[in-house]
Amino acid sequence: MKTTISSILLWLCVALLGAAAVGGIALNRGESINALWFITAALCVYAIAYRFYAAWIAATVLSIDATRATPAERLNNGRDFMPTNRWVVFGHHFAAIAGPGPLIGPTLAAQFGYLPGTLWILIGAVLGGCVQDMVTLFFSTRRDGRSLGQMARDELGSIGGIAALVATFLIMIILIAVLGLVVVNAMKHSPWATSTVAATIPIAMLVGLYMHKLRPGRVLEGSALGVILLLLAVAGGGWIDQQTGLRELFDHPGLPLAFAVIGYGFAAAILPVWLLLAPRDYLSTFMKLGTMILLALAIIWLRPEIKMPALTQFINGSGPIFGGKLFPFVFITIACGAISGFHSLIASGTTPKLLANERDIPMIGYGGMALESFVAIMAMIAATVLDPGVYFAINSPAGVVGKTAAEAVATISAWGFPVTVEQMNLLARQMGETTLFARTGGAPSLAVGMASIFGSAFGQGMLAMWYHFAIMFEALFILTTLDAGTRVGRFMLQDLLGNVWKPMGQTSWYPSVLFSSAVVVSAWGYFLYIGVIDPNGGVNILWPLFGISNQILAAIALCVATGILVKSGKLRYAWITALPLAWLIVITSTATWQKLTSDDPRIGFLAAANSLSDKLAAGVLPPDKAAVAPQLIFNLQLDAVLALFFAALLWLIVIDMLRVCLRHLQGKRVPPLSETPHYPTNLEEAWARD
Amino acid sequence: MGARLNNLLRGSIAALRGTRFLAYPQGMSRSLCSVRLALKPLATVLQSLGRSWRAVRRLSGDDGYERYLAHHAAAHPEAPALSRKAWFAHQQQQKWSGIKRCC
Repeated sequence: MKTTISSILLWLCVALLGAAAVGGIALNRGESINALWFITAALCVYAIAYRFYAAWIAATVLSIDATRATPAERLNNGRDFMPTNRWVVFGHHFAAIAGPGPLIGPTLAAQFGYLPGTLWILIGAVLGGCVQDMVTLFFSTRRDGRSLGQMARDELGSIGGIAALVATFLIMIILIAVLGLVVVNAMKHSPWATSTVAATIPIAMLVGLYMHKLRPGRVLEGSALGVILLLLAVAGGGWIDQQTGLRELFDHPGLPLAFAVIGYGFAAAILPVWLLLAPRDYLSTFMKLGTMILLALAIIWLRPEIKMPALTQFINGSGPIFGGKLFPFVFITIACGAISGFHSLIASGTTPKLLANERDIPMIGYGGMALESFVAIMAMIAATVLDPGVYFAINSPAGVVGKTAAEAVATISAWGFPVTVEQMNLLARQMGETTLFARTGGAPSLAVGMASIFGSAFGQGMLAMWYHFAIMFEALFILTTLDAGTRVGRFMLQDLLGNVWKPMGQTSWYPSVLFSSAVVVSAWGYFLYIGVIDPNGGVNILWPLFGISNQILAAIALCVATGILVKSGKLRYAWITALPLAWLIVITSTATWQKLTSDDPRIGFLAAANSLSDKLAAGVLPPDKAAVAPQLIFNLQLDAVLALFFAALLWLIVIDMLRVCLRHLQGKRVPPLSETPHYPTNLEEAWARD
Repeated sequence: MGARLNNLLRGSIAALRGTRFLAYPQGMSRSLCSVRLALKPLATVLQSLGRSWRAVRRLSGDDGYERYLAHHAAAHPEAPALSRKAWFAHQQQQKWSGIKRCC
């Protein structure tokens, strides 16, 4: 863009508007604030960061070269390597990175008030997450689309490669467990939600048969059919909920639902992809995009008031949804939407093979993450437009606020967030649920928030429909992640076992498929099971563990990027990745330290294990809790070991990166840069850049 | 259906701007001229509809097989192309053999 007076004026206006909006959000106290300010602040921050920071990184730090042939051009095979229109690549990349994570994290972090989470989503994204995605995409593009693990091995050495592999496998297990828990909590004792979520499975299979057998490759027809059936399933769930005799079939407590999800995960992982995974992914992508656009339009049209205060007293660490102070736990709780290490796996390996030109990297890497961050802002809005009392009543586990409705409202009202049993009962009735108390995991409160926004925008009469639509929409892509993640875990395990015994490495050999799928499913199934029997909801243990592991993966990606920058002689610019890396090291190490050593049983794993075993020994636990206490104690100790292992993994790779950088600066031998040589592109003339 | 709808749109756009209407207006009857003027915006609307439809097909991968055939004809004209079904099955299998979805 040429610098003209009008462009200077335009960007000055954007900067002023953004500063006013962010300032308004940050300094507002006591009065309610409109959600439109959040949207304005977010859009201005992304626009400025994209126009200036991303462009500067692209031009000065990475020296993006539009005349260079990308791997998609050089290795074009018409399948995975294929030069593709940048909007199509953007669509694929965004669909791949944006899952349920950016919806759940902000919902949980809203317990601190709207301000900390919102600021972290904005700042973390433009300085951390977007940069990570963009530089990883760039470095992988310059290395024939190699994966993060391969780049770590090539650039830093085998330690980095192994660390990336192990971190990816573990994060997958924790991620699937916590997402499974979110779905189970949303279906618990809700025949409507359970029957609708169950119906998504045969619908996906039907669409799979349609796309595979009946009308092969007709993706749009199949998806349209599926979306119509899904909407009918939401309405059908409401009908089932009214039928005595039928509704009992779908009315279950958490444990049987957890086993159903585990059994489903196993079946899904061994079924052919065309039957279940691929069609459901088409459906979830369309649903996700449609719902997000609808939500953005509804927020802009309706301009709801934010009811949550800017900060709550829970910044002191006593929060009911998860324990721990604002620092570091808001940064751990919101990983996706601010900085998510998982993205580096998509940005390396998959997306680079489609890039037609390096010029598209800022838009796809930086822009894609900015859009995901915007989704997180909308989730934050949906959580904070609820009455704080209602928000805490839905999200606080019974183990914290009390088992009965009367106890729960008394506790929550005493915190200064008034709520009544009548109010909660009315809300539950409106949403077509028997109760909304202690529906932890974030999905139900997000669904109530979305339903109230949609309800106000498109008619109050359909609240229950909107609520269950939102639950179905979340469950749809959670189940996709569960299936895809189990499959990837299976491939990784088969790859590993293949080194021990050759036949195990064959991805199509059925005994190996069954065995490795069973191992992966039981790994996440174990954490899911413990999460369900935990009276404190399980989410408060699993979500921080997931956040820590996801950000440690981000730290690994940033280590690789920093190492490459230093080795390329760009030490003076290495701060663009070293700064977010340093921040991640600080927050993940602090969080791990607190999770290990805190005396507060709500924060420290070991403190919780000790307090539980003391209570068990003293015989003060009620019989139902005493029965599961030994398993919970073991799990807490296991979580402590896991957290310690994650931190050790992080420090190992950080020290390895520093060692490589130092050796390079001293002129000693380091692994050489693995960048492919420059070949000029031939695409420019042939390609209309539409 | 996707490709057929596309052809239908293209066909009607072509018909609307067809020789009869787009011919040099001299000698064209007054009524035909006004028909042409009235139909011109319709052609534009249909054209933009066609463009968005093609964009939707491309973003969703609905036109994947047609694109594969084009690539195949250009890159390996000697080898027979896969059938639509075989191509789709192969493409799905390949898509889901790596990390394709995240949190």
